[in-house]
Amino acid sequence: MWTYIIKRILISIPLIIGLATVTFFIIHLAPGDPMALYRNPDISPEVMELMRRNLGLDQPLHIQYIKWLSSMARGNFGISFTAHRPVLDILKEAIPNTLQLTFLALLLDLIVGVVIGVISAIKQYTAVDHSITVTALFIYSMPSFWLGLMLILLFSLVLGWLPASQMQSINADLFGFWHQLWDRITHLIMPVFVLGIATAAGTARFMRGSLLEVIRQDYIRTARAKGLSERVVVFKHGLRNALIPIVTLTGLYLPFLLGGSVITETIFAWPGMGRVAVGAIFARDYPVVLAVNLIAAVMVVMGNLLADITYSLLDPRIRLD
Amino acid sequence: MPEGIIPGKRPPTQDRRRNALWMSVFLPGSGLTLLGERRLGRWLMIAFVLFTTFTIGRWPSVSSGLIRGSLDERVAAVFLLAVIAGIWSFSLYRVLRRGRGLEDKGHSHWEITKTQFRKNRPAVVGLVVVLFLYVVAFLSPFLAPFDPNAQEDIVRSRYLPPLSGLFQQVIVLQNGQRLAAEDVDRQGDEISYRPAIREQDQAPAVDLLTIDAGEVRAVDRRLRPGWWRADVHWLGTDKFGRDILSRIIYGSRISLSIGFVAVGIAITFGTFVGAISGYYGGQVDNIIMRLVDMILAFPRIFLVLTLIALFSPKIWLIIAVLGATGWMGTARLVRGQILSLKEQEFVQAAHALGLKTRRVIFRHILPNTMAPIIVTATLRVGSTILVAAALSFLGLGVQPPTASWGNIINQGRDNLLGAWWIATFPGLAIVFTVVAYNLFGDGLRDALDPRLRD
Amino acid sequence: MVRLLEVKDLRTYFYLDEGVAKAVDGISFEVDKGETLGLVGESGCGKSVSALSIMRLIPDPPGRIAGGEILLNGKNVLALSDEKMRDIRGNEVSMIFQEPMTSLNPVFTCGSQIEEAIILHQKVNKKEARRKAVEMLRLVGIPAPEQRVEEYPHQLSGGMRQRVMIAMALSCHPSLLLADEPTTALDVTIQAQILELLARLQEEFNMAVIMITHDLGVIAEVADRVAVMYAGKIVEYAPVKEIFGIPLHPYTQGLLKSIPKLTESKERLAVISGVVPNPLEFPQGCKFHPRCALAIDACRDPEPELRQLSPGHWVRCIRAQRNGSFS
Repeated sequence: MWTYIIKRILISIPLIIGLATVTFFIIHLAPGDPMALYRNPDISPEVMELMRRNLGLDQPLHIQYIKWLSSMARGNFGISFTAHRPVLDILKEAIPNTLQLTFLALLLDLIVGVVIGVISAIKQYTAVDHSITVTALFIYSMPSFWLGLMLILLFSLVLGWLPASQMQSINADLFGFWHQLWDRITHLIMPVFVLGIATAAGTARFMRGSLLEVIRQDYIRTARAKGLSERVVVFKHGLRNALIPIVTLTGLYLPFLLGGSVITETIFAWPGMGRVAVGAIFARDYPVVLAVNLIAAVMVVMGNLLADITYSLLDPRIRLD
Repeated sequence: MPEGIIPGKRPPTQDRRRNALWMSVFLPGSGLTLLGERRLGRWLMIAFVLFTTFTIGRWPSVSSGLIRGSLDERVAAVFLLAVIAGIWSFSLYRVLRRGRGLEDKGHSHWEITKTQFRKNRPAVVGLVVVLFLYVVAFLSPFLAPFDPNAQEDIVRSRYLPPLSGLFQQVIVLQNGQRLAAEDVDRQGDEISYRPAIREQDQAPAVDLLTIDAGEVRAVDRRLRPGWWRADVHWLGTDKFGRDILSRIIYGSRISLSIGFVAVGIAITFGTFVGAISGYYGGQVDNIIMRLVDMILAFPRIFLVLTLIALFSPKIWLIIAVLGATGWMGTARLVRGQILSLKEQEFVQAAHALGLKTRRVIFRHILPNTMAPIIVTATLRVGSTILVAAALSFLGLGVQPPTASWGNIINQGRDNLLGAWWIATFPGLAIVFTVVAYNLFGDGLRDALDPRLRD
Repeated sequence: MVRLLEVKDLRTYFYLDEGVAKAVDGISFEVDKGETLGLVGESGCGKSVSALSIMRLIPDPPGRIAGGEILLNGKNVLALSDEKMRDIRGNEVSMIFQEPMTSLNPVFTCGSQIEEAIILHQKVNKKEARRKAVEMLRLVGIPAPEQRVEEYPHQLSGGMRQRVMIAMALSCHPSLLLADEPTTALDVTIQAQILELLARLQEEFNMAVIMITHDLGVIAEVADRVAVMYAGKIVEYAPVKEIFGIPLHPYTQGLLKSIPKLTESKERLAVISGVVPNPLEFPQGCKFHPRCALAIDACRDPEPELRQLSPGHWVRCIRAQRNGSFS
């Protein structure tokens, strides 16, 4: 099995290089001159030229590419045009915040999705099943920004139960540990929900289908013929098999979870990668935009890798390839 | 026996056919019910009646729109007349066909799919809603009560809540006199109000009058006379006094056209790429699939935002970018289908006959892959609409003052608690549109492949 | 004398949107300890459903056991609670199925699947269960059983998987084994091995077997008595020698005639014309009469009863006679 894992990791490396290349060339399609941001009648053309050279924008494209690639590999993503700080620092602050959200949203997705899906399958065709199906349908048809706004409207503005934005209250640093923890939790509830509920709905639907399909298999009939109780048949024999495709589905959902962070962080003013990305895009801050795109793609690739490994752990048929 | 004639069922009698034909000239659909196609006949009748009454009722706007109107209005008018003409001629066509005893035998793949689909009520509802949305989009100049960009008198019409203008307050005096009023407010011993306008075209009265509270017996509410004459802000107004319902109606055109065209582009391109990849296999396939994997690794929103921000957010660019980021799934799907079909015997047979590669792909393999592609396309429209709305919301979509569902919601953020209707209703519109597309797509999928059903 | 298994007038119906399918419509038979009953018929005649009914594994909805009795050692299985029925399954009565490729759970090892049955019914600890599982694997002829217990089904061939299934089914020493087409999906040579294995184990455990198959060759080899089924009913019920020696029902005769014989040279194979009827639309009267060359008007109504034409030999045909010809 280790050979499988190592092989997958090795394949990922050229993939990541490819991603970097794609990102680079996308950005450099830009018709706008990045220097336009700094255009200021007070600054003389010579100074502009100096700035341009400092930012490396005067060199031919392929040189820029090589330099960029090598510095990327060393973790140097350049300096942000607008914040005048190393991009790496900006990311180092922002990424953990996004990871908090994404990780919790993933948990929400898996736990709620699987449980609801199983319930839906067991009670197939009953009123419970139908209402779950309808609710799931509406949930993943909702725009997440709208859902976020509606939740803020209800829970923050009308009811006042939950905070509307940010990661913590203004004076949170003065709180004791438990108070801080609780404060953080209340700030997490709505963003995590908005980020994860749509994928949870999709997972629930998929889980239902997967379990129903598995229940029809011959080996389930064999399990019943052995005298096992229906509960053991469904939860031990059925569920183990039905969960396997969920791993693949979750891998497919990773880009959506990361992409969803853009909207969610914007609505809830959450200082994460998504919000940084949007700001940078509007400001034409290319180093940041490049870096964020690349990091996001790399995270997806790593997530898929994890998903593949998990898959091979669950499905013995794959293990020995 | 002549083909198409069902043994055991005689063609309808001469008389019946003649009656049906005449009936169909005047009321499309009625003739069909006479000839046995009751469900279709009923639907056609209802549709015809709805569209015709609408046209007649709004004839002044329709005719002026046709002759002197803007492009939008012309298109809308033409659409309306075309639909009516279409229903009329389709009904005649069916009557003539039926009259000759020709019936669909009901066993071709398409027929079976149709029957299965009809049994699925939610899916049919989805389809109907989708069609309804497109009709609304085309007919928006005639359906929207207000001009979506008209600001009227900002001071008076900004931030009006839903159902504004529907009701009127009536101050009932002690002496029995009734005064129609608006903005009735009580301050201590005095009640201030504004007299309600009588004529539709008169500007609203500006001056506040006051009455001693003791003279008032009660304040009632009643429907304003003439409320149906399109003066009511059913969904309220926004910061600039623009009617939300009208903006939503006009906004539907943006969402629906983006959805449709972007998915169309993505599907076409994806099919093309997938076909090449699947058919040629080997290195070509490898390279293409690697590329697909790479693009798929980027969250779509990041790519779309980056690409759109590089240029300027024009609608055609949005459509192009959405199309360019959405073809990968279809490519994979088509490639998979082709790979599996390639080995099947009918392809080898075609080759043995000497057909060229391209012909084999297009005439023989692709028709077999159509069904899953169409299902994917329908389901993707929903997600494309969601992404497009997110773009507008962030400010990188259609720019104000053009109304699009996303940017209306964005404007609603400014006053979320005070003017909740601005952000809420467009969102509901999005939800229902996407739900309808999803229902329709799911229904299509279930109808086309029974194995996928429970 | 209390027999091991007595099935009396069993009816199993499926309630579908299109109507009621009477898959099993009043069959009766008996099986004694150590005996093999062959249940023969074409696909769709109801033989699998009969076996599933005995195990009470009929999916409900849409199916239901609509009537009759199934007496196992005198006790009516149909009246038992679900819990008691589960005690019997895999324990006193076991079943093996047709598709060894898909009948084992792919995510659990062979050993653990056998152990599961042992632990469930015999209340032993895991070590003991493992020992017994290895024993069973050895018994069914799987080489190196200590290694095989750790392996997964996909690592074994079809024949081996069927042996594992048999090991699993026999692990609790049932007194009755229902074998639903156990060899149909296997190569001919493997078929012979499996049948021989079953025969050996049957003798060792003094087990009764109901062998369900459409293959008359298998019946000839293993069965003591034979029940020929058609359209949900038993049309002939006799000791095996008599079924092959003097078949009395036109259907049985047709089946036997359609087997090509090495010693004969024929231009065309004999067939029974027509197709098996749709269980939603069974013909009136004798269910076989539309395909029967000997059908007369009286066959159309009412449905013939089973008549005992000679000791132990029952036939459902109004024209059948003791010597094999027809009135």
